[in-house]
Amino acid sequence: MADILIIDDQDRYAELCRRAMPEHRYRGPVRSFRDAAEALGRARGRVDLVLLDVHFDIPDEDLLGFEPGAGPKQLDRLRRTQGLLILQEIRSRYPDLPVILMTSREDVRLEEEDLDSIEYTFFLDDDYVDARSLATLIRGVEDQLRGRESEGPIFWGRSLAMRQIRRRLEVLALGRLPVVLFGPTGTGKSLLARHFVHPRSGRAGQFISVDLATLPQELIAAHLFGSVRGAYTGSVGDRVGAFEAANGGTLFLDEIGNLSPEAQKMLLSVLQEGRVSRLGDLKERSVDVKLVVATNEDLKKRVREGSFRADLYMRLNPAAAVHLPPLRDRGHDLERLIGHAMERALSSPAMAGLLATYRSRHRVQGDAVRVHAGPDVPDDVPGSVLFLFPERSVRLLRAHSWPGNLREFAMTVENAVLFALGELIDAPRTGRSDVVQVRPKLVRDLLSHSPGADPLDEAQGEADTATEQGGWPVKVHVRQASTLNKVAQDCERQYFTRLYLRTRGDFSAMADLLLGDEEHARKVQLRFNQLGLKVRELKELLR
Amino acid sequence: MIRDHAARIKHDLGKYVAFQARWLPDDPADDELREALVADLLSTRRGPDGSMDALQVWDAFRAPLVGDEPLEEVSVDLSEHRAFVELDQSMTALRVHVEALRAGEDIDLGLARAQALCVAQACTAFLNTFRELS
Repeated sequence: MADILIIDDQDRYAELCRRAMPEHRYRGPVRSFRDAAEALGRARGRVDLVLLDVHFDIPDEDLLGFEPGAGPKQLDRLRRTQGLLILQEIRSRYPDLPVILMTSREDVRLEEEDLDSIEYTFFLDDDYVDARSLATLIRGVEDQLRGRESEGPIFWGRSLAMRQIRRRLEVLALGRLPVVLFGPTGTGKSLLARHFVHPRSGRAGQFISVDLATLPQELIAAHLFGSVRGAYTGSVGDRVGAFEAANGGTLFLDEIGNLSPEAQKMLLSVLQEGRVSRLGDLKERSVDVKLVVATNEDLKKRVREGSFRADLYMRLNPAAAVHLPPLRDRGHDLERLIGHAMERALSSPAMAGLLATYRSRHRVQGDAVRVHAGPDVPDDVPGSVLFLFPERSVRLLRAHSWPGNLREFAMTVENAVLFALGELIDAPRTGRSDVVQVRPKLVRDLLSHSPGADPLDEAQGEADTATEQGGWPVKVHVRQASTLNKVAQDCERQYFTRLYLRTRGDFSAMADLLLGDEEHARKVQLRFNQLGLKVRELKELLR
Repeated sequence: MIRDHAARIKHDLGKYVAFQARWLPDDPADDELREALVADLLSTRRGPDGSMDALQVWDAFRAPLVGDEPLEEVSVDLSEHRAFVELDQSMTALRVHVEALRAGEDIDLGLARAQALCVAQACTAFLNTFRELS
């Protein structure tokens, strides 16, 4: 299912699309670039693709590129090429957003516009569009989107920031210089090193990973550089170090900040000379290793403090460092990320057994599995089981702070899928037996064990029950005041503050939680102002 | 420019003369096809000032091509130009279906659909002639 924005001066495409391809979600039609920009802004990255007409019969002043005093011929040309102008504007703001131009490539050439070099722009195969060819085209775009959204265990999503990280890593993987990955725990640094950098490095050698946080300080040097018998107490034989083992391949050093000063010095020497000596051995061995290091520490600060060598820091190629965002900053991709995590969870052999039992108990034929997260429930497809994260469960995940980032997220989703399936295996099914729904209560239970769980929520037995009726629990301290109105306002201020923190200051998400419509963000913001809540001060609480 | 004129014909007539009918399956239900043809042939061009049927759209485009005041750029006798003649003839063949639909009469819906698609193809061919010449 794709989320499609239609930009067209008429209703006809929208009407036909809704009728002929009801499996997709449609926005619009919007009539002008101004409306399109607003719609894309409101959608906050949720639009999968745009259907864009070319010829727009709209009032002069709504035309993109309109200048007062333009003659009839200029206006005619503006109307005839309006879609192409809109496309250029969309491209400048959303470079990766796929756009299907509702015309053939030949007709665009007629307007002397060269769009061949514009990525993610698609044309109709034929001069005139029909449902079948458009459906095929949309499916093709969806396949491409899925292909670039995730690669094996890595989920890139659609945000520009993550696309840029991907491009940068692709380039860095090929070069000789080290790659530094900065990012909080669980953001996928090890995954990227193993499944992205190493395979793209063009190196035939092994991928060796060393977590420096788990090694005793006194053993780090021997583990990295190797040792000979008797080099240190307890060294009973010769030992090949990680550098030698990774020769011709990639060495990933996690938590590089844990290196002792002595080990830092030795690492610097290896990086400078390209040669390594085992502890206790005078012989040098040349090594050719692609080095990837990771940390969640501020190494620059450590250099200033004197606990990390400045020369080693400079050798690690900090100018090209890659900073991975925490999960809470990837909210635009959340539904897709849930889908990705569900698919990963469902591909495990253990899950296959449970799924087979479920199918047999509830007489669901076939072997296909679909996943979906979000407000709509897709229609049933014979032979498939649908794993569904309904909107209320998605909201709970969105509101969580995810201190463990992707690692915690993947485990939560896997547990959710597993328990949802497990609960339903023996339960009598009254609704659609092809749907396995991850209920909000289950999600809330799972999240309550996280270090990021809101302690106030945990203390709210009764309020939790209330959430089953569609609410969101919050504990407020009722304090005396001179009037009832002041007491109520105080409670409301506390409530809005908690909501602000929970959504990390996202007014659209607050509007969505409160009014069921994220477009009412301004209303929420106005209420903040009425209550005297200062967003600048609240922002400080988020730091 | 005659090429621009031909491009407008393709957009305003060729695109919309079979717009809904083209989206239907090969063997649609009669009421569905009739509804699509009524929309395509009787409201071919829709704008803020109302709608025009396919014949009115074609008449408006045809006049500057072969009427008393042809486009300045027309230097060939279009009345004998193959692409123009085919388009004109396809519109003549469509006329009977448009008038019957307007009168609410029973018509051969499959034939009307095929003729509308034929007009669309003729519009493309007409534009292609001038695209190649330019």
